[in-house]
Amino acid sequence: MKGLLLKELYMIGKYFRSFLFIILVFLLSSIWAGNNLFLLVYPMIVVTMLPMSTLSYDEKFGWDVYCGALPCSRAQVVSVKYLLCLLSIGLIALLSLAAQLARVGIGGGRLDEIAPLFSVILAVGLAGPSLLLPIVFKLGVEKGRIAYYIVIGAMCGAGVLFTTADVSAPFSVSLPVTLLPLAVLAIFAASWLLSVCFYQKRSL
Amino acid sequence: MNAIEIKALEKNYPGFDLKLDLALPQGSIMGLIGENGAGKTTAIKLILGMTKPDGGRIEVLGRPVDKNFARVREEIGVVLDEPAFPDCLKAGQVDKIMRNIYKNWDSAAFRDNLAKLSVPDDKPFKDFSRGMKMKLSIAVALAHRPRLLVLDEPTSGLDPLVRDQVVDIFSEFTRDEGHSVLISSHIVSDLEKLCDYVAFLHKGRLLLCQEKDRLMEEYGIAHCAAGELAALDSAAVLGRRDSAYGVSAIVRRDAAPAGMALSTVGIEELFVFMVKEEER
Repeated sequence: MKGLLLKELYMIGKYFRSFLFIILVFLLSSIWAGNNLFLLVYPMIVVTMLPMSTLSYDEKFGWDVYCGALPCSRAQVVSVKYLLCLLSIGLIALLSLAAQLARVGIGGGRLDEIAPLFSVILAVGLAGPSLLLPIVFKLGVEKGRIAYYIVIGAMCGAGVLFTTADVSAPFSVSLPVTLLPLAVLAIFAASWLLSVCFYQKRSL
Repeated sequence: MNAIEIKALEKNYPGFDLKLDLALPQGSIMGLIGENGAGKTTAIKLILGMTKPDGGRIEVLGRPVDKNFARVREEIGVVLDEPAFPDCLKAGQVDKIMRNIYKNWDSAAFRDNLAKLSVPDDKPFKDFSRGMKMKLSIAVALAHRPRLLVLDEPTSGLDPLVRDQVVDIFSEFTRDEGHSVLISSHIVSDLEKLCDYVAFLHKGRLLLCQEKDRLMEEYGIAHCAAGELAALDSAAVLGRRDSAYGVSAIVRRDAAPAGMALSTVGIEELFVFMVKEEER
């Protein structure tokens, strides 16, 4: 599995370098831009699309077929994409945390806003791949593309709605909001099991 | 022991179905010959557990092709008809990836094969010619000390010199009695040089599977009049081609009457004659 992950990292390093630039611009802007949740949600959306994008490249190059001839189980092939999601989300969460602490540091926000804000960002990050990956593993990237665009559109729509939201008001620390990532994490785990099940049945 | 054993294998697609019984003895090289769409790649995918059969049983290296088959692939070197590394990867990166995929990966052997096949390790895959891509796939297939090679059109896209070199590499691989090769190719001359056994696949059916040398010894091509051929036992004739000047037929030597001139038959002729006979 380490080899498969390494291959993902090589691909990300080569094909998605510009993503890092976009993410940094958004996160840096969020330090000075007031209560604009979209600036934090958008980098998360971008980064959680990485596994779908690398899957798309895998199909284009025929790696998905070749991988079926390597000593890797189908479960490992699926798990690497989910692991990539968690790593990307973790990285963006850390960068977002740094940006929000910097915002508090310059007097632009309150410390007690950070926890609920993070709950929303993490939930958004986990929700996209949880919905999309089983479809892509079942149908392939080409056939799953319509579902892909619907979910991306819905997530961007949600992001736009958040743009006008006052972070402090709707997301004051409350139990349901802080538990949101845990609920989505459970969906993420179920999505992983479903993807493994779908991919094991697929002919390469 | 057989390196590959296939019994009553069935795979059905709309408009095409494959039915196959085949055995590759350990230590041998078998050439799988068939026209485009004959089912060679489907057979190879079934053998590697990449596609699920609709019926029958496959054993590779003594183990069934089932959900635990991934571990058996440690001992199988594979070259598929389309080289399939991401465009951005360089051979050096492929080495690092494969080192973490195969337990028996031998980086020194990989580098050695790259050098032998003149594959640069500092160029991305996208800058490789098709032949170069194929050579990288071959170097990967050999670098984890496999006991079985499964090769789907490994020499396509290679120039004659490199093809010869690759054929030598595969021959050297089978010097070890425990090593076996299943190879499909359109380039029958390569298979003729390399194989101990040949299997003819036509429209999803196995027409023939026999030792190559025995086939050459047993059969010859007769060029004669239609009447002369009609006098022979029909079971002794594998295939025929009629022309304005007479008949050319593949005939079992022991059934040919004394005085009938028989020339040596090649694998390609044998295949073409048999397919034409099948479609008659």
